[in-house]
Amino acid sequence: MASNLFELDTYLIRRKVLKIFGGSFHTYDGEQVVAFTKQKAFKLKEDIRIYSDESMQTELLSIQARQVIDFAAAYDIVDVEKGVKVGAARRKGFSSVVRDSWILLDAQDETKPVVFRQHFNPFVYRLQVSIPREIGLDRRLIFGIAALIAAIEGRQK
Amino acid sequence: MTDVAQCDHCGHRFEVAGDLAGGITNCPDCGKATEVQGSHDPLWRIAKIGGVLLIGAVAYGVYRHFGAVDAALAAIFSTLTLWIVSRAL
Repeated sequence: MASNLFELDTYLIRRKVLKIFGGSFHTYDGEQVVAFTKQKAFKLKEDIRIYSDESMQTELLSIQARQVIDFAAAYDIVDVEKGVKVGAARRKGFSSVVRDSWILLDAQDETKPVVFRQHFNPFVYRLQVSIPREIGLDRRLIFGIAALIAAIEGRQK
Repeated sequence: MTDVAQCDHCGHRFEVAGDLAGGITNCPDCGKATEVQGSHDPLWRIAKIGGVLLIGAVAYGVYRHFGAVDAALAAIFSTLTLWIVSRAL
């Protein structure tokens, strides 16, 4: 299941909007669940873990904020299985006041564009991710950023 | 601005950009992801200074009412409590 996730060109992240502590959501390839994401509650720094399924036996990625303050925060994305950082995402501070904007950094700190399209629904948050074949960006990083956006924000471009 | 980080896996010490403080980077020696100490996180700094002041205030209060031995015990107890709370967070 894990190998499938990072080979997919499109997938859909869905989460319920109303959640009191922490958060969790599923990623779908069609009808099949390909990943389960859990956002830890009561953490000073944002801590998001991505597992292969809801049993949480196999951890795939971990996303951790560098700082406690969320304004222009940077988040490091680590491949837990291989023990390496695959990249990072930095939220643009002032640009994100009205509408969230992110800078994507790969392992070499170079930026590349990815399109994330949100389907508006007041009760269920849905984020459709479509990855062009020629993008040349680590798919673990793309999934990490998609999960980060889904976990933290509701509006992005 | 640069910081010095030490790899959690191989112990290698290397320089990192200052904005990586509190984050994770790959060790240039072994290639594994390792944490960079977050000394530049302003809120964390404030929390640490607040913790030290709180321990000092507790110890001083106990010293004024009960004496030096009790103040030392209170300082140790409050330090342990804050450490446990910080780990839980």
